[in-house]
Amino acid sequence: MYTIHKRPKKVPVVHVSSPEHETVSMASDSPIASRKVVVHLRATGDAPILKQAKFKIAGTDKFSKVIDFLRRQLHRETLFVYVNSAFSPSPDELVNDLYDNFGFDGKLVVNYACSMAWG
Amino acid sequence: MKRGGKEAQQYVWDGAIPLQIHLHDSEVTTLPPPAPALILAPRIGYLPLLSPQLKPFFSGALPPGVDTVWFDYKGLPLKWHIPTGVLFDLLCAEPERPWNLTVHFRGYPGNVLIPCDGEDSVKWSYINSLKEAAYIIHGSSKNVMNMSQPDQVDLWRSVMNGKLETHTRISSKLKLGIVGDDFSAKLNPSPLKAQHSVDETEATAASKSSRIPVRLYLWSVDEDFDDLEEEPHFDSWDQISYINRPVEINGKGKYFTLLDAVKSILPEFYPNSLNTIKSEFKNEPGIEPEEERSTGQSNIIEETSVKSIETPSLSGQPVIKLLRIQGIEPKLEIPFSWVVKNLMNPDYFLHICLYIKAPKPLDT
Repeated sequence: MYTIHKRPKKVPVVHVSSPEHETVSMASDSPIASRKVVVHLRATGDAPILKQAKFKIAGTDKFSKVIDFLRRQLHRETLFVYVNSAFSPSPDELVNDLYDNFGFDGKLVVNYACSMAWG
Repeated sequence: MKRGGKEAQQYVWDGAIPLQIHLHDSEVTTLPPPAPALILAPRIGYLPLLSPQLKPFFSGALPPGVDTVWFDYKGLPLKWHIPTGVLFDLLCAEPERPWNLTVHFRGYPGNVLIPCDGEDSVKWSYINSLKEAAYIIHGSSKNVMNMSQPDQVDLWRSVMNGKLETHTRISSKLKLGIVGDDFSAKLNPSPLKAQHSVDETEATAASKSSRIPVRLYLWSVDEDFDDLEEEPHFDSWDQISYINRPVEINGKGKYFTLLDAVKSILPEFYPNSLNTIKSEFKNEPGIEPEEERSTGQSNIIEETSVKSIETPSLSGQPVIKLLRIQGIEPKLEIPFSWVVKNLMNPDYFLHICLYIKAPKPLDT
């Protein structure tokens, strides 16, 4: 069931940034504030593979946006979402912070599973 | 007294907040309504862990239904995955004792809070936080993931029961220790370290780790509030920024303060921190700006703030109105490594509550 899916030519944008974190990213003209982060979604275990595995998301968004997006795509309420096959960040963490701390090769790798994959 | 020992850490682990917990009016079915519950909540603990004590206390007054416990403070649902002490430090600018909270057993606000199935959820959240910290320190969570099951259970119980010794014994296997700086080297001088001013590169090579996991809870205002009697009222979590950026401690053994750490976390507020560090310390009696600081500092600050130096968007200097860690408002010039060693939480994160007054950004 694991197929090598083609890399999309164009990375679609999931969502425009929300104004929630204006206070932090007040230097709105700085590169960090307006940055979009590439999120690479990888299925784990028996989770269905998404046709579209890479997305761009505003760095000022919270990780919960990624989780909500996966929930909608997979039509599941219960999901386990990890970064780098290692840990589940809090939904409140900013995508920017996660990318800076745990991203590599220009992207943030997010694994998702329908049952707990890494206790 | 053992200086630099575990004394301060023990205080943190023993720290507790007296809570007065009221059952929410909408869930009271008895007359007279039940009296509030008085509980000492450990600082390093989490609110859902109190429910075994609260349930029997309030169960007689509840309407029929399934219990899902959550708490609010003045209407703000409390995020259970944040340690209780951090919630108190953050939301109660003027510490209120006892802290009056409201407990709910119905109507879980799933849009604000992540689901919680009692102790298992809290343990899961704690272990995840620990894994995240390990990842920041080592670049991988393997040490935590490869823990034996009994060790993981014991580690969690040590947090639940406030047993610092057990926690230290088990967590030492994770090798999450942090590198010392010049200050700690002076406290525990060793022949090898004494030479490091001569041979700094060697000291750097010997350093185990210099990335400190930090969770910063930031409330920033652009208008003046002069005393904390006009304390902020939080209606929504959107008023608080949640920032997770590690702090690099320079292994070269320079004196790196708490203020330096805050500046490195918030380059948005301190675009010119290179120039400001020295001048601020001129006004502090007894603290001489070291000549070598400016050079050492540049190594640390450059990485984080070099981008924003180009585009300074603030008209003046931000003012730190309140900085609280584990109920303490430490002086900003104390060594950051001391703060980390003594005031970090059992998840190896340093949780900092910060109120900052910053000038409005210039309109562009």
